[in-house]
Order: sequence, then C-alpha cells, then structure tokens
Amino acid sequence: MKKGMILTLVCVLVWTMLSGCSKSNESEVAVDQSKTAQETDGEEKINEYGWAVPSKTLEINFYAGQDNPETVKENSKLMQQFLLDKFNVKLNKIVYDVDMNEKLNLMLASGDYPEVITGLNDEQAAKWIAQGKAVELSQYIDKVAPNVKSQLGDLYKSFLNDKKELYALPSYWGVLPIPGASAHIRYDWWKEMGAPEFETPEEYYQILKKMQEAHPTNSKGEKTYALSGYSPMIKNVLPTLAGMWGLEAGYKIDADGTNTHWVNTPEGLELTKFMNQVYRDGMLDPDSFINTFDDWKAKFSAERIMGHIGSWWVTWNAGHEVWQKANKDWTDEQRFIQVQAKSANAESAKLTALNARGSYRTIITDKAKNPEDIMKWFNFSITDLGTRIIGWGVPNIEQSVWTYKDGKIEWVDAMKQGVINGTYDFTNSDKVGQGVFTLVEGIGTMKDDGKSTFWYDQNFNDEAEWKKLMNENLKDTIYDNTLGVIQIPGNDPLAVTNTQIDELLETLWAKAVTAKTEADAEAGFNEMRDKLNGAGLHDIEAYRTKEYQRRMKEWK
Amino acid sequence: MEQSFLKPSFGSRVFDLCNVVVMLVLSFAMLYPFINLLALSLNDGADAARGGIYFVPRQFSVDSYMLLFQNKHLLSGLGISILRVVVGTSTCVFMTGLLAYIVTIRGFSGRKMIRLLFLFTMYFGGGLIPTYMLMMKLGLINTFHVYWIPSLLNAYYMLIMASYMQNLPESLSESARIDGAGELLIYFRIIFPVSLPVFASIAVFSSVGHWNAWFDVILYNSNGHWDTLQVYLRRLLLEVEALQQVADQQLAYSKYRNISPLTLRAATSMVVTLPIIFVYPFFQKYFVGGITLGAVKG
Amino acid sequence: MKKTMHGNIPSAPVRSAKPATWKRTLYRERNLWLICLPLIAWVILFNYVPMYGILMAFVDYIPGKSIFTSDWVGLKHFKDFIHSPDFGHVLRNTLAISGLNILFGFPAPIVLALLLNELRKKKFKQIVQTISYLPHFISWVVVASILFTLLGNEGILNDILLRLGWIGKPISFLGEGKYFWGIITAANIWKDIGWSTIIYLSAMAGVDSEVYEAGRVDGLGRLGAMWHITLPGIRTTIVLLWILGIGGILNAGFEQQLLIGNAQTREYYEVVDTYAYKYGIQLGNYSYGAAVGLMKAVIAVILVFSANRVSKKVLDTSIF
Repeated sequence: MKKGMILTLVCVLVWTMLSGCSKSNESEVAVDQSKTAQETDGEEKINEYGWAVPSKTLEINFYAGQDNPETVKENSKLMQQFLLDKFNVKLNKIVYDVDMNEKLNLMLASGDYPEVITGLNDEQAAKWIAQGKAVELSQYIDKVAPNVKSQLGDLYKSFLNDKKELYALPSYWGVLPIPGASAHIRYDWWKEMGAPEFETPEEYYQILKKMQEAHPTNSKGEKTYALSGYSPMIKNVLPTLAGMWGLEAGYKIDADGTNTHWVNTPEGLELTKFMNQVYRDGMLDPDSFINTFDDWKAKFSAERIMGHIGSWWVTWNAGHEVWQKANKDWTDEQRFIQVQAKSANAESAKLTALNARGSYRTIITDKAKNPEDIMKWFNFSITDLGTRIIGWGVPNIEQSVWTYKDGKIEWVDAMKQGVINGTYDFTNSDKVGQGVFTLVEGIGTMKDDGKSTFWYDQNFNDEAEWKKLMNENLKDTIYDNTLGVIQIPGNDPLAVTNTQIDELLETLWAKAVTAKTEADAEAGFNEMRDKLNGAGLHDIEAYRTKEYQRRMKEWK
Repeated sequence: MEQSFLKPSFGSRVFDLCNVVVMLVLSFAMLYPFINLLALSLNDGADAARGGIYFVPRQFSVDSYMLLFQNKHLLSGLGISILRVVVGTSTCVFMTGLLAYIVTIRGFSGRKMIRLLFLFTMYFGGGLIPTYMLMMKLGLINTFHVYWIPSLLNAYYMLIMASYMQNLPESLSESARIDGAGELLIYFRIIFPVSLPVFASIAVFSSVGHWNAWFDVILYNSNGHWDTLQVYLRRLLLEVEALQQVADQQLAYSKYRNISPLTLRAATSMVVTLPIIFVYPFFQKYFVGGITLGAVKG
Repeated sequence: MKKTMHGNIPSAPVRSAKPATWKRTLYRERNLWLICLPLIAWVILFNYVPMYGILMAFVDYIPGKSIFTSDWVGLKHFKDFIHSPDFGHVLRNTLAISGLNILFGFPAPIVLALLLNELRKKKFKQIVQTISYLPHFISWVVVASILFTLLGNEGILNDILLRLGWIGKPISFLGEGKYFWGIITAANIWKDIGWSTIIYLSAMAGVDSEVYEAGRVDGLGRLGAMWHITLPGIRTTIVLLWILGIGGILNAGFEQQLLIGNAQTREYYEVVDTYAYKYGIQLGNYSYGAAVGLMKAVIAVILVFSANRVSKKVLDTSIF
C-alpha cells in the first residue's frame, strides 16, 4: 500500500511539473503570434476604424485592481485577438486576487508595476502622483491626443492640478441620465391592489402596509416584511431614503455650497421617524441591520419582502432574475418595479447621484517607455467609435452584439431582442470582451448619435418595457452630484474622524430606528446627532463645504 | 483496551455510555456545516438563492460539480497543493524537530539563547511590506520555493515538540552519546522514533497549514503558475468581497450578474476541503500505543 | 510523579566537569553549534532582517518611500491609539473576549482529549476525533451564515423558544451587544476544540503505558487514572499552551469579529486587531497599524515572561 501511495505521489508530482511547463508554453505561443503580427504589418496604414495601425505592435500592460485572474483572462481572449489583428495593439489586463489598496502599496514599495494602472480612486491616484510615479500627460494632449480634451469637454479642466498639469485620466466618466437608485414595489401585488397612486414616503408606507396585510406570509408560510435591507444600511439604504427628502447623497447642500450632514437637518429626524414607524408596525425586517447581501437576497427571493429602498438592480438580481430560472410558472409581472417617493416638503426627490467625473482614474507610470504611443491609443479609444468597441465588444463575429461595416454601425437584432425581452445571456457579453479593456472610455450618452452608451444593455431602454417604465418613473429624480463626491485623503487626520463617524452613525441609527416608541426614536436621533457632532462631524461638514465651494468656483 | 483483564465495573460502564452519548451529540454539531454545504452544493443554483436549505437539497443538481471539474486548471491546482504539502510538511517537521531536539539537550550552552531567538519571532515581525521586499530580493517571488523555505522552522511547533522531548528520559540519548554517536544520528535514530506522536501531530498541523494557505499564494505567486487548490476557493470568496468596493451602479450590476452562485461556492469548499480531512486519519495511527519507554529506561 | 524539568536544576554538564570558559564550552559543543548555524542563519534572514519594519511605528510611513527617510514622529501613533475615543471599549472587549476564551476555551480541548482517550472502541474514537476537528476547516464566512440561521430573529433558537412559550417575541441574539461575547466564545470553542485536542492526544500517547499498569495494580479507577496519570503526563504541554495563551491575550480574534459582529453590536465586538485594521490599513496608515502591532507584541512578551517565571516558581515547569 505504501508503495502504491508513493507511486501515485510521484506521478502527481511529475505531472504537476509537466503541466507547469505546458503553461509556460502557452505564453510562448502567444508571444509568437505577436511576432508574426509585427512582421506582416510593414508600414503604418489607417484601418477601417480610423486608427493608424502602427508598424510595430503597441503593447500596453495595465493593472486593473482586484478581480479573478482566470475569468479576466478568459474574457479577454477574443477582444485581445481582435485588437491585435485589426489594430496591431496588444492590451494585457493584469488583475490579482489581492486587495487593490494592498497591492498598490506593494507595487509602490517594490517598484514592480506595469506601465499603466487603472481603476484607481482619487486618493490612490494622488499617492502615485505625489511620489512622481505618474507621467505628466498634458504635454501629449495637443500633439497626439486632442480627442481626450475634446471628448471630456468641460470636465477636462477638473483633472488639471494648480499648475495646469494632467496626471490622471478618468474612466467610466460622463453622464448617462438613467436611474441608479429608487424605491421599489412588488408589481403584481401592487396591481392586485388596483395599482393605487402614491407620491410621498408616507403613502408608499401605507400601500406597503396594506400589501403586507394581504400577504402576511409567503407560500411556505414564512412571515413577510414590507421592507428590509442589508448592512451597512447607511450606505445601502440611507442615501436613497434621504433623497426622498431632497438631500443629496446624505447631505443638504445650500445654494452657496454649504454642506450639512443629514443628522443635523430636520429631514434627518423625519426619515428616522419614518423608518421607526415602519419598524414599530412590524413591517421592517428586524434583521435589516444584520443581513449580508446574501441573507437579504435569500429572503427577497423567497418572496418575503414587498419593497426596497436602494440600488435599482438589486431587486432584479434578487427578484425576477432568480424567479425566472427557479419557478416554472413565473409570469412577466412577477417582479419589482422602480418607483419614486418624494416627501411633501421636498422640492424634488434626489435619488440618483450622477458623478460626471467617474469614480476611477487611469495613470501612465514612469515604467512606460513611450507614453506618447499609449496616449495615441487613448486618443482613439476615447472616441465614440473606440468606446463602442471597448464597451460592446468585438464586432462582426458570431457572438457579436453589433456589426461595423463600411462605417455603418448596426445592432445584431437577435441579441438586441434578447436584451429587450430579458432573455439575453450575459455570459455572451463576457465572451466578446465587453468592458474588459476599459481605460479612459466614458459611459455617458455618445456625442455622435446622442443616444448610444457604453453599457450595451442600456441602449434599448426605450424599447424594453420594464426599463422604460423605470426611466419614466424616475426621470426627475436624477441629479448631478459631481461636486459632491469628495474623498478625504487617508493621511488627513479627518479621515480617522470620518471612519469613526461612519461607524457610530450605523450603530446609533440602528438604535434610533429600532426604538420601541416614537419618543424613544426621537431621543435616539438626538443622541446620535450630539454624539456625532461631539466626534467631529462639524469638521467634516466644514471640510466638505470648503472643497465644494472651491469646485463650484473652479470647475464651472 | 488494556483493562480487558478486569471486568468493567458498573460505574465504569455508565461512564462509557455517557461518554459515547456526549461524543455523538458533539459529532453532530461538528458535522452539521458539512452536511449543510453538501446539501447546498448539490442544489440547483438559482433555487438555492432562496435560502432555507439545511440537510437535503431541494432541487437536486450536480451542475456545480460539473462546472467545477470542467476547469482544467483545478487539477493542476490539486497537484501543486499536494506537492506543497509534501515538500513543506516534511521539511518543516524534520528541521523544526531537529531544532526542538537541540534546544532540549541538557547542558547545551546555547539552548536558552536559541529558544529565545525563536520565541521572539512569534511576537515581533516586520510586517507585510518588508517581508515582501525580502522575498523579492531573495528571488522567491513566482517560484515554488516560496511555499516551503520561509516556513521551514516554526517557533510554535518547536516549543510543542520540545515540551514533548523534555519528558523523555535523559538516559535515552545519553547512552548513545557515550557510545560516540553524533547528534544528528541520535536525533534520527533515537529521538525521532520515540517522539512519533508529536511528530505526527505537528505533521497534521503543518500539512493543514500548507493546504489551507492562500495569502502567500496570491501575494507571492500572483502570476498564477503555482496556484494551489485553496486559491480557487478563495477567489470565489474574494470576488464577492471586491464587489463591495464597486462605486458605479451599472458596473456593480454587471459584476453581480456574473458572480458565482452560492452552490458553486459550496461545491468548491467541498472539493477543496475533502482531501485534507484525511490527513488526520492518516497520521492518527502514530498517536496510539507503540511506546513503552520502560524498555529503554532500564 | 514528579519529573525533572529542565532549567530548574543546575544543569549537569554533558561530558566533563572542567571549569568552563566560553571558549572551552564552544569547542566542546562545536558539533552542536555546527548544526545550529544554518538554523540560526535562517531565522535571522527570514525573521530578523525584515524587523526593520518595526521602525514604521515611529515614523509617518508612506509606501514607496523608504522607512528610514520617512518623517520621524516618535510615539505619536501610540498616543493616538491610547487617546482615541474607542480605546476604552476596545480594550475592554479584547480582554473580555480573550479572557472568556482562556477561561472556557483553554480547558475544553483538555476535557475532550481526556474523554476521547477513554473511548474503548478504537474505530469509534478515530471517527469522533476526525469529526471533531472538521469545524477547523470551515471558513468563518460559513460559520457566520450558520449562526445567522441559528440565532437570527427568525432563527431556529428563537423558533424553539417561542414554541416552548418561554419568550413572547423573538430575541435578537445577533443584534444585541450583551449576547455577543457569549456567542463568539461558543463559536471559537466549537471551531477549534477538536483541533486543539490533537496536541494533547499526542502528548497522552507519549505517557508510558507502564505507568498505567502500575496505577491499575494500585487500584486506580478510570477517573483516578485520568487525574493521577494522564493529566500529570501531559502537564508540560498544558503549561506550555497556557503560557502561550496568556501571551496571546490581546489576540481576541479578527475575522470572526468582522463577520459575526454588526453595527448593533459594535460596542461589544470591536477588538484591538479589528480596530487597528480599520484605522490603520484601511486608511492606508501602515504606521498606525504597526504601532498597535508593536504594542501588542511588547505586552505579549512581558506576559509570556512573567507567566513563565510564575510557572517556574509555582509549578516547577517552564518553557525556556
């Protein structure tokens, strides 16, 4: 028996070694291909997409943060080949399983990083720039990358520093006026009630209450709730809830740019009382502050929840997208629809905050041998056509969602109908490489046709019944919050205060919401306000106000 | 077993009965998560999202396992994991054992100094960045060696092994020493055979540690050529974690859409955990009997 | 039963009794030192060389810059930690949770090992042993989700209590701070009890079987043998783990806190490590994290040395 085991072990080991070798062979093959590509393209010519094909393959390695390296490699394949064949550009996307922040710090410390890094937030980008690891880019703009400036338009200057230097470019920038968050309601049950109109949170609550009375348990006899949530509630629910009272991402912003945190506003008290009312009536899932997304999703998918306040897509993901697959007799109306609620006193509901500058930054590092060439690629890919290629994936092949022939852009109808009917298989999007190589592309409405967007599935919103309904319901709840996305740098002592306040806020708000009487809820709210102000909330407000006012002056 | 020549008393029998009952209850509590994971992994993916699966699958499906075994890298991951456990454990156990032996030799002047030298490493370390820089300078990044060289000696294991060896009668090694045997010979020929139980238990610790390790894999071998099996499981869990950082709603939607379902996560846990569970039964035979020190003592 | 522990008795020289100068000792022990040399070189390279990272605690370190050229801030990070508004309850939670862990979690595997050792059927014993160490392989993520189904507002426990009529409405076990310490202690014990018995079982296997024979002849019963033979036989191991456990009193856990704890129980779950993580690493403030780590290490070493000294005096056993 021992011999047998040793034999097996030896076999396993030898085979592991061999498979290790075969892997390195694979990468060699890839290198060979790039060589042939290099040789065949002798001279620079303009391809059908308007890109001047370089005579030498332009290879760009970029680190893009934390992701699953296997799936990224898999999803890059077709797109990488396409760009190599048609553009003679080889993009290598590098991702690691390690937390991005940690990996970035290790890269900085060890000096081992690629020529482009994307997916940085403002603070991370600032760190790299401050240490002189990022290449100044404005010098290339006029020479090789005028499109970057013209596409970004007014936003361009918001990326320049005091010395008018440009170090970081945005990705996923621009404004796509589609809803991001809302109130939600179970559609078939609402119709069953006669589809009663509602406007205010109070009316929304009344309807949910009646709905819960009509469906006190799900089919398995488990108790139902009108609303639930998952932690942290102050991130997942509160900003949308506060938006119903007209606050912007949890802040009340005056015309002069003064920022007031919601706990220091009368609206804050009202919304806390509202949630407390829901809780006291047994309509709020008592585990709301404890649920993880998976816990919440399990309850939601088991048809135990009738409404939601927060991101638009979560009720799709946990609702009909599950039912569709799991219930044989699912009907199209068994779903959640996105609706708005606006407090009577608020001017407008501000549910979706748009950030035109995008949340992610791309830098070219000092490892780049020829930043100018990389800028040339950015100059192409930031154009409307470039954005289409990156966003929609490889055109003109079997799995493509779009075709490009003689300058004409067309949708592949079968795929389009799939999206409209909700039968589209999104793994197809991965195969054609949608979004894998996003570096500087915008997600806003494209300038050339005034309607297309980077997100493939958001292109048919007018034709897709439910998306259309959502957009109509929520169209005046979207607002521009570009000035309000303010990050406190980690080395500022205020960052510590900020973390403390976030934690206290969640703890104390949970206490106030789950108070047994309205008076207790109010006392809880006051306690929260005093404690937070004691912990330095006013300093945060002052910091935000200052930054907001600076931006008002300089960016507009 | 040894008591067989005496008839067990009534009290002894009651004790046995209670003991068995306690063990059964305990076993159930310990086994439940596995039963739960197994049930989940054998359930249909979309259905499992609705929760409420405890002991048996609601909609039976082996899709998760099919999907898992279609991944051809998984097998090479298994091979690398086994390689790591075999190389890492054997080197660590023998070297740490040697160290433990040395620090228990009575009268050796460096004994206390060496113990302290290692003890301090249990509490003081340079942190992530200096360690990473060291591995890089030593050329261990993206090699297999990073799995066993940095874990060659372990202060905690050393203390445990030493505490066992301390209880061995001194006469054991003393007589060999008088016969002129070298220390290495004494270690292999005398100390090792009588310390089998502690070597076995450290082997269990070390192999489980090596099998479960994932952070050093993704940190030092991030090019993926030496991915261990454990990394495939971590990847699924970390994937979920990374999603919470996504700021853009549309991006979040497209990522959540592709997330591996609970059932796949459960199936991966099963596949990754099952092989290593058998390491304990494998070493268990060295835990019982076989040691009669009296013979050598005399 | 008293065995000679090293260290408490003036050690008998290995070979001769000539007055020892260090040179002579070194020469006599040259073979031993030859073996030690690579071992010592290894520990210096892999453990002591990176220790310059400890300096990080005294500077404002920014990744990418050298630690040696960063701004020296002295004890600023230590002071920040001690003066932070959360310091009080963080310390309280840390001590409470690890105190409970030591109080209940330390003896539990010893008891289990003793009971396992008494099982007569060899196969049954092996199976139970193997099963009991299974939870060690379950990740905390899974444990947290099982706890949620067990202890949530609609969990199994509430269901049972409601059916028995002992409570009128569900208790939020996971949502109220006062239950947290108990839950985390139980979870810790459940997860590692079987795992920790491995050491004790191996130590028990090392107890000379002749001693049991002698005990039986002297008329010792089952419990008597456990108390008078097995326990003293594994005493060194128990003392060792106890001393190390005392040193680890500031390690009250990390992952389990973050996964089982939530906003409502934060005042009871936040421990030194979770705090250092949130305010150090997550804010990119490595120096803060390093300072907290260093403080813990110093306290741990002081505790280990004191515990070792006490144990040497009282129990006549020490680990170095």
